[in-house]
Amino acid sequence: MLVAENLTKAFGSTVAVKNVSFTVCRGERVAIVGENGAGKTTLLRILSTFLPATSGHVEICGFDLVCEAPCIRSICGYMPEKTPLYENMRVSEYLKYMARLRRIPQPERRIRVHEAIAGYDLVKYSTQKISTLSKGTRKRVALAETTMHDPDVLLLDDPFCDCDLFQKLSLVSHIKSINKLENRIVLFTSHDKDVILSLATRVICLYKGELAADLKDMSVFSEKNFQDVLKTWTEIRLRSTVHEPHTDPQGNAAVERNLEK
Amino acid sequence: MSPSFAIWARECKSYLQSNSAWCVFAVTAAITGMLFSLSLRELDNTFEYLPAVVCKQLLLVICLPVSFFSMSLFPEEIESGTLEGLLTTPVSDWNIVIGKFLSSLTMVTLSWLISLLVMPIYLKCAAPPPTWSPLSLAGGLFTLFLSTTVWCAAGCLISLISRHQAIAGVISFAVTLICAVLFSGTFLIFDNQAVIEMTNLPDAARGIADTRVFFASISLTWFFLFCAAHRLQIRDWVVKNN
Repeated sequence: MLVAENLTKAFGSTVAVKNVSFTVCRGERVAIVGENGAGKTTLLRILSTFLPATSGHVEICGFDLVCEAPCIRSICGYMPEKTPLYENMRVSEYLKYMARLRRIPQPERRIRVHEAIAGYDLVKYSTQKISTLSKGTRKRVALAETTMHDPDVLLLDDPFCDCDLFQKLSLVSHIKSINKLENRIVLFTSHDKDVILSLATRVICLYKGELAADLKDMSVFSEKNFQDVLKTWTEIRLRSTVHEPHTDPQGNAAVERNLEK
Repeated sequence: MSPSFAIWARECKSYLQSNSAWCVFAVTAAITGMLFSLSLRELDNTFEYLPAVVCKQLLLVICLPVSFFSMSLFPEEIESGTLEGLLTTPVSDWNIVIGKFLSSLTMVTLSWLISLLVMPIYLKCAAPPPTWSPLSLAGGLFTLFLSTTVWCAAGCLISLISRHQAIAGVISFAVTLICAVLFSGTFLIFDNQAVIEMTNLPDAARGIADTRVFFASISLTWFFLFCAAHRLQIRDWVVKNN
């Protein structure tokens, strides 16, 4: 389980994430949506231990984010937005290097790397230099690396932005299968409506660093326009004096009413 | 295998695969050879002074490889974003700093070792051939190695402070050159014996061991690496990006 309580991150006078609280259970696939600069990347960076939070408390699978950061790093797989890879390394060499850093034991390392290459359809690219790969293939390499050590929590920052339609579908089904089989937590950010609808079981909407909406019922999207639903949720949140995200059935009813208007 | 060792191995391999690293080796060897051949003409009695001269020259020349091999340690990874991935693996900030420091230390040491390989050729060419003690040369080189660790640790910190490789390179070069000039004991214009005696290469090259040199080098290296690890911990570049 992932529990975030009153998470705040400030960069000087700019508050990127403000009092965000949510809980994610095992098996959930949560999409974090919001405008550019809403704080999605910052939120994932905090959860991945890359950035320290200014205030607030996070617990991932029983480990405290501040005190037990190395434990959290070993159970989390984080893929940054830019897909940073070492350009001068070959695919298999890169995966072996990262497996070493992820402290996968020597006998197991070779098997894991082989499985990752096969699982993400990278066999024909395994001896190629990363600098020669297309953007979509690079994404697959990054995803292979992120999932290679069987993490309990997957944190993916815009994982499908450079993928073509077929790659998107294949990756979505791959992540779904990982999530289903291993009962993992998946948190991802995306601007792609189709990806969110096909992959997410829950949507968290950030607005100017604040938690504007926490939608656990995805059926609301099937009937109404995706953007309209999120916009309505955000408006409700902004009008609300209570600093709690709308997750209750009344909230859904309010969305319905607003959409009808 | 320790994560520091894995980082060290990757960095060294990456350097050795690049043409620019070999160019730096060649330039370092060429400058050292040129300075050495010039000094052979000047010295009459080379028995005592030759190792000291060699080490002094190397101390000045290694400013070039130090700045080159340390300038890209962090700015390149920050620019490409690979540091973000690295810092979310179960590797401590200390491991990353140590791995990177060791890689630059290895490459700089390799560059002056390659330069030294040229020395026998020059010595054979010299007429009359100078006599010198290999042990005193070893003493001087050990002190040179201690200086290299300090320069590399300083270069590691500078590369983390400045976000651009070129700026890091220029600052590293300037800092190490000033320190090399001050610490080599060649220039006594400051009349500050305490500073000059810190490395005192001529003494080391005559076989006079000074434990202060050893402890000063270890302390400075530790201090620079500690500052670098602390700098890495506060993720300063992310704040600047936002």
